[in-house]
Amino acid sequence: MRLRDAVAGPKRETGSADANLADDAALVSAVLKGEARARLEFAARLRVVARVLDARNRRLGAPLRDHELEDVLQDTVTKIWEHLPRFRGHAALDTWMYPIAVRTLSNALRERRNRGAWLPRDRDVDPDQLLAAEEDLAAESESLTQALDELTPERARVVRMRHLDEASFDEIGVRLGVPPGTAKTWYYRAISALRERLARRSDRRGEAL
Amino acid sequence: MNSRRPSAHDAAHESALEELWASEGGARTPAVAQRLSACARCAELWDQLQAAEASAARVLGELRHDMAPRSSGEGAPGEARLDAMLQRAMAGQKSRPRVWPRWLAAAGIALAVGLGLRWAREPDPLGSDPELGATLRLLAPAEATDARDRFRFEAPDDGGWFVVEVFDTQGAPLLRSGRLAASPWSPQPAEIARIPQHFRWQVTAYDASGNFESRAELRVEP
Repeated sequence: MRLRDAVAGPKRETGSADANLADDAALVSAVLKGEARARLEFAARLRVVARVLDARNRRLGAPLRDHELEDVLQDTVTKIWEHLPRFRGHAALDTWMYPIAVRTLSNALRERRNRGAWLPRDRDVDPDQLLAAEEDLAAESESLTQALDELTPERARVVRMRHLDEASFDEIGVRLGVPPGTAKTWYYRAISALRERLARRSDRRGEAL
Repeated sequence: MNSRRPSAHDAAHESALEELWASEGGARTPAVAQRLSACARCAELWDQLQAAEASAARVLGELRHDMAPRSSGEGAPGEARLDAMLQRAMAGQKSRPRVWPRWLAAAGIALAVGLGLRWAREPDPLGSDPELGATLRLLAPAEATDARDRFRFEAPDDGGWFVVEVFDTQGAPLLRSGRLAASPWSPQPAEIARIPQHFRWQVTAYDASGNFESRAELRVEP
């Protein structure tokens, strides 16, 4: 089976690298056209965003209460909607939405910290360090997602299988219908392509500074 | 200039290095080491390849961890209202404004002061938030000396459910009940032991579909 054929295979669980990219693009297109059923399905896909915000907030010691987190969720949904016309369908929807969620949360936490509303509750925890790490993740996930989005869908998919699904090369080979050695070569070629795009993005940022 | 790494890097070097990266699976084998010691630019590119792989592992690993559902099976805050949030975004409505116009803020302060004076004259205010908790009334514990084994509240029985949360005085979450069909909530002894002398607790009411209905809080403070 060729890789392209495998990509067009049956739809799998949301969040897995097997999630069908063609379906994601079709869903986004239908939502942008205002189709009600598509909107409901898209709202269901946004559950991942609610989970991400909740998980990250808890990992930071829950500085935001539930109703505050719901405000951040609304902001994130609004930003996703505003950016949705730029979704190219190369990256999986979940991966594409992730940096938007992390950035919106870190902005909300920065605003809270600046107001003095996020106080250290534990001597061993420094909110400024936590916040800096969160902002680093936001920047890194933005760069990586944009670089993944520039890869061919097949290459991006192999990278996601390896790191999102933690698939071995044997498993990737089975999913793609190729020997493990071929899966490994494809993966390392995808990382090479990713390096090139990340380096280009880094150079552009350097020029802009 | 590094004399041990004469750099004659060109496109042929680059494709040979990438071929080496793919065939050796990113490992620093003798063949790779030889290439890197022969060309400074190849060594730099190798570092970039490793950094790109590390970045993919880090970001996608975080995403994998973050999108796992809660172990309790409970939904994340706001999960039940995502369609409403999406429709609000589609209609071009932002989140509720956090910065009020000055006249509205002044009116709000005046109203709050008026309500505060009224409550001060009433014998049983119990700290319920009049805006958010109109249908909820928190009963006990209300004083620092009250027992903490039963958190009692009054709420209409409309087929919905409730969540009780306990925070310290700085707002750090301490305890959270599961879904409750009715009052009271009885925390476990180990949980009760974690409640400090002064704390704040709140009840959030959801309708049968999981939509937020109201919230009330009570401060057990000096």
